[in-house]
Amino acid sequence: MKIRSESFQTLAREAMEDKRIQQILALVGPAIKAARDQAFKALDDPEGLLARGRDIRERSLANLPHLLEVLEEKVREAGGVVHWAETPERAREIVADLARRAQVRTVVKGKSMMSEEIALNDHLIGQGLEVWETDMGEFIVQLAGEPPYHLVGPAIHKTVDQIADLFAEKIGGPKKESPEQLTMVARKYLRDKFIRADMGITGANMAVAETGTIVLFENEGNIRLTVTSPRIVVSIMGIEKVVPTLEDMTVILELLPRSTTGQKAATYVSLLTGPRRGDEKDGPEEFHLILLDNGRSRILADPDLREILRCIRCGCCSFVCPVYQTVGGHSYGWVYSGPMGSVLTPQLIAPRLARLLPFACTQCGACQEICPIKIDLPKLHLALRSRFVEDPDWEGGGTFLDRLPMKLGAWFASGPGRYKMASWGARLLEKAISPTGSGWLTPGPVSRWSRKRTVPSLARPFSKRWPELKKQLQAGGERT
Amino acid sequence: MSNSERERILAAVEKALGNPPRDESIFSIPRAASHPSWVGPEEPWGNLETELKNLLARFHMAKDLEGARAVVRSIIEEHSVRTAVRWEHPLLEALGLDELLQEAGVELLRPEDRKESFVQTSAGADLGITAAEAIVAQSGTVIVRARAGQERSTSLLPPVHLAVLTTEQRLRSMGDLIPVFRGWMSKDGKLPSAVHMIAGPSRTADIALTMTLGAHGPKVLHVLVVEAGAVRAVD
Repeated sequence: MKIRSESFQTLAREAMEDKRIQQILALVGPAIKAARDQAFKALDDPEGLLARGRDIRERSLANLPHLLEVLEEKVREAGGVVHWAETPERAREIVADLARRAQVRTVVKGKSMMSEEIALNDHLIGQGLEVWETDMGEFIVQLAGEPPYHLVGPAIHKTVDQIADLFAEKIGGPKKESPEQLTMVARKYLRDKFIRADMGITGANMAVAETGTIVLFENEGNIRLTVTSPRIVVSIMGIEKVVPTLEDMTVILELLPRSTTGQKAATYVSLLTGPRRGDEKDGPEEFHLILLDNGRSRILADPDLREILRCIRCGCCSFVCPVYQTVGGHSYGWVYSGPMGSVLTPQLIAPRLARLLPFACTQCGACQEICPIKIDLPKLHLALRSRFVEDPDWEGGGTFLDRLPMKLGAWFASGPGRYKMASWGARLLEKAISPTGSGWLTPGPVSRWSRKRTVPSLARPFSKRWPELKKQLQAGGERT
Repeated sequence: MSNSERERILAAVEKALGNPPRDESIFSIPRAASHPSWVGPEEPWGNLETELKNLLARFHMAKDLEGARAVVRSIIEEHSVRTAVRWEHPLLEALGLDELLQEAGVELLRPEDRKESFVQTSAGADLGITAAEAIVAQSGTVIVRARAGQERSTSLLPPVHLAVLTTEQRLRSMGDLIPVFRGWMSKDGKLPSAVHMIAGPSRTADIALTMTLGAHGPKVLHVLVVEAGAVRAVD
């Protein structure tokens, strides 16, 4: 996927002016949030479950080397093959090699963030393979030649009419009118691809170390078809997504669909343990698991940022984020969007491309509150901001002049006397520049900050105004 | 080459965590109960029925085999079923399923007759009939496992899926699945190659946020629960 995170501001402005996008944001976020709250309320002990989820993710990361070794051993025992990839390039090569060796011509794919992260499609198409996204939304954006719009709904920005035109143009046949008819067109078209496909590629929602099992969630059945019909199945998973036991799996099983779509359970959960066995007549003959690092071991070594690896990719932090709810998914410019994306993206791609993302946060804390694993996302945003400002490794540092305003601010704020002096000076300045008391920062160098914000007038301190207000109140007068 | 990559990743992870000791206890705590909690057949079925209704699945109960056959016949009629695939399973044999299909004029598709893969055969069937391992009362989730004669495609490719179980196969909660899984593991040493948890018919809301059934899998899911005693009488 092409990285456009450096254009966050431009993309955000475009999204804010796009009526359709604004409608969808206003519709989807609150609806999923409400369904999610309902789904958690229906649980016997939601707090207990959330605490267990957090504990499981913590324990899994703390024991990661052991879990990965056990997972590898168990997948092998079940007849699968485990590959290790340090970088996206290596993961792409592994898939391409497998395809070449087995003379694969057609590939079907289940929706996978991981495959977007490593930009797999373009690579495979470049190798002369026919590659089909089979998730309904992903299929639509693939036909349209666009990136997925949202983690959960890749094509929710498109109207029925747009999709009908797209299908009529690319698939052929008379133009259909209803979502049901369009779904049937895609179902029929993709059925043929599933049956012809030699290789199926999926991500993995998690892996269970003790059994060597890959766990896949979905609603459509396309992932089941992807792992049932082709003779080779490849699952690509980040190394952080392994949990120890089946018991641990059931906790995530309860948390993930509730947090993702507000469903009590995903329509299909598939537990795959190796390829088909003995006389089984369907399922893959070969099963491959690619364990991808791509910077995750580096994040794990960073105590300030490690927490993001607990993320189970439910995407619910987006729906409560005031920034995401305003600028939408495309603005983040890469695979992962919303609060978790703002933390993950700068660490997975060249940091300078994503330096705007951690600043796109109001520190309201809604994401942390709703996160099923209670990841302290606001703190992670702050940690990244300070990296970008101070750490030369993150192209931070800056000149003395860059730092001067903050240094002055810090000095004035470090004692009540200095603070009073500063606010007195500022009020005087405001009166001098703008006697009506509004927009006083608009001219001058600070206007870069103030033109995107409503700057309140510097009123006299409340403590000074109180005696007057008190008199008015006692007189029963209206507030002025 | 690949091996050294493995070593490098593991070494980086080890180092990141400060070389943690191998802690075997992560595989033993906290364990679920060693026996699943099966809900007695006499306990009310209303909850499960409601859950299935919420999932947009259809629920049928039959007191005896004749009742069960009547349900299958009504499903054949309702969906104008002409062709079917089914599992090889004692419960379906007890139902006399093959004779029933034949009498109803439904052709039973077999891949060996058609010189094609099982997936292709299933794609051509109007109805897929399976015998589920269990159903979870709390959520309406149907559990199926793959093995020879019990293919994955049967519950996936035909537009209508009928899952048959007995009244003794009702689990209380998702947590009760774990001892069931462990039971399978102690027998075979590992989990089945594929286990699927099915909560209602296939669906998508990807087109204009309109919920549409039958995205890639079945459009209709029927769950038929047969009185266990009636099935045992046949065995």
